[in-house]
Amino acid sequence: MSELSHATRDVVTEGARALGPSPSARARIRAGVAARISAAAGGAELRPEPGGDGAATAVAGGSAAGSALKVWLMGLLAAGIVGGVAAGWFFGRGGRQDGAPASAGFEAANRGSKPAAGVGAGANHGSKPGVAPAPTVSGTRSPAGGASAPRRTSRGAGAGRHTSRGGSDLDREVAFLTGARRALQSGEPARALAALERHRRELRAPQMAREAALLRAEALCAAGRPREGRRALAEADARWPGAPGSAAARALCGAPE
Amino acid sequence: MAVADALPTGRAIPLDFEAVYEQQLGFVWRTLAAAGVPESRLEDASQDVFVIVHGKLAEFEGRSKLTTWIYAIARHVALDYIRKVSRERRRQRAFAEVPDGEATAPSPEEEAGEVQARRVLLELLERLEPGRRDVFVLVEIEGIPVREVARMLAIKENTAWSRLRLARSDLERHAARLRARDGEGLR
Repeated sequence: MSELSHATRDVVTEGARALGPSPSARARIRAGVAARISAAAGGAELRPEPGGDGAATAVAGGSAAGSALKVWLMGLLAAGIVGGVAAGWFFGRGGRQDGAPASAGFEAANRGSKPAAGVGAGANHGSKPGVAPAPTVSGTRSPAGGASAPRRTSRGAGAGRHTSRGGSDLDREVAFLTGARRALQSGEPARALAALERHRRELRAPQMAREAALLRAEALCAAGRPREGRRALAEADARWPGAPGSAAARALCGAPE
Repeated sequence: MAVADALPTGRAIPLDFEAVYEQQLGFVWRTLAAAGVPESRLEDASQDVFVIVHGKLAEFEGRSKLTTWIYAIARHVALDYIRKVSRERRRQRAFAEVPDGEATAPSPEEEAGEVQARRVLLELLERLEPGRRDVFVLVEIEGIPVREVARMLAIKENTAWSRLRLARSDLERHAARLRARDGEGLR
């Protein structure tokens, strides 16, 4: 069996070492997976209520298994989006001069998500801290256990400004974006646009403005308004230059990569 | 670079999605990249893989290794993306002058040696015949034994060895050409 020469072996080894997601990419993927699982779960429990308390609604409306899933999702959304996208991407781009390692965002994301899962699932389920049980065995979970997790996650990520109604802006933001994504997937772009409009109007300092902007572009194009969609995409590009994750919107709007 | 399988075959306990995600994201990313998914689509494609994994994790019975199962999903997703990207490029070419490949200007980060190393490897892998490339990536990059790779790809072990030998030889040849072309860029 012929072997690779040392020089070629070095090329393969070095290339392979570099061939992996960056910490900020890992965080964005986590956030994206969490949002899509949430949308696919059909979690009516995450739907924003008019002027309501997103977190409380989420717990009250969910099934036992659903609440465990939400614990994980909220952990990922809060830690991944806020910790990863905000810290990893923004600071990763502009903040490297402060000497922080590039992996800071991802590490923060992991630290943020694990306690949430531990609180929600481990405390009630006897499983090891920081590990959410598989969806297959989540049927025995107490809904009460899930109640505290999203709030813990929000505080842990340092992102949620609690409203006077008891829910955090982050909870509501997640609910709006999840609702918009779900509406889009069900072929109701008008409803998606309405949710995004509420997201824009009702949240003073959104943590997921970029995700909302890309979703809006997608919704506009899906609603047969491609010119407005492409303009929204161009605005998002100008505001967050080089930020990935807009492939779906670009494909839908026929915009170049 | 060894791939850690979450559990051996014939597992008796349920898999934890978070642990699977943490353990397998790198493997999924490399599989997608080596299969030819463009860099700009790797995040979306990785998301697709894990959304499918999440949906099907309950059905995973442990008859194969977790890595084998996830590899099959990642390859399926990769093929979808490659087809999609190729369609988009054809459509774009019909309307405008859009260059092939990633059309973005290199960022400061892309100047870094790490990115250069990745690009060189991907360029070399892209030149391999797909069947040989699959075996090469799994053996040489993921560190999976040839016997297991043969099982993953549903080929005979002898075939896997043969593809590996041919892939190594092809890669040497392509690397020599690249060295001649880029000189310092490739040691």
